[in-house]
Amino acid sequence: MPRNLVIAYVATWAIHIGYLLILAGGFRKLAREVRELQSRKEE
Amino acid sequence: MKPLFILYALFTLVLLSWGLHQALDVAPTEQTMGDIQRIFYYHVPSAWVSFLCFFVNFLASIWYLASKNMRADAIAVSTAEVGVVFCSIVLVTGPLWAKPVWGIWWTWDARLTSTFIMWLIYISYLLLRRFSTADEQTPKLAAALAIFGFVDVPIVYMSIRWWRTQHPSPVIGGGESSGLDPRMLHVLLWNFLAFAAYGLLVVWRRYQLERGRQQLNILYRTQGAA
Repeated sequence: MPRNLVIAYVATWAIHIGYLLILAGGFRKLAREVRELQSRKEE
Repeated sequence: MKPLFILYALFTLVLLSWGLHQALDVAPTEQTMGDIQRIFYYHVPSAWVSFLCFFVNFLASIWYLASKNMRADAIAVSTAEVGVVFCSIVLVTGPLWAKPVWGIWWTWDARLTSTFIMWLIYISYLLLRRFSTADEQTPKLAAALAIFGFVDVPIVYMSIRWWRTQHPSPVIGGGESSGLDPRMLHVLLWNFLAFAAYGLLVVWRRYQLERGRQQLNILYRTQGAA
């Protein structure tokens, strides 16, 4: 299998997985902010 | 996560695996280029999905300017971001195919240049949304940029029909001289279906995140006002 073909397929999935990780980070940040807001409300 | 989302994610995973199997094992080897041509099965569907995303972004931007509906704004930002991801893949896989076939990584021909400009337009759209300090105005400014920026998308699509430069001519809908082996077309369509399903999955998730952020901003504002 040509090297550039392997790199192209791996790079495609590396970009997609990288974006999924960014997205997961966004959800974690949102959940943290919601918790902070709730604790501020309770105070 | 809702069961429907998990079910759809599993369905997409099956489609993507099937598409990969088709591209590497089922598609016939191209006579002049050999196996390197198989990049086509990831490159072309990624380009089509990015076009679809930018088209939905264009429609959602018009909807937002007409109605100020925050759902439209969430759709616009989600599709722009996912469109940029797919467009980045096009810009990475293209040169990886070009080097062994053309002997060069990049050339400023009509298709490559207009695609690069399209990518820059939507990167600037995302940067505007990320760094603008005009909170209330940002979605409006972004929607206006998206509507004008979309002008480049049909230019990218038509560039290989209007100007005959380095990039290969269209294999589908390119007139009498164009055409693709039916077995290759079959594999291309499977991969398009798989990446379109995956694109929808990611847009769906990104939309949920944006709606969550919007609702949190409303809570911050009401708490700040109280």
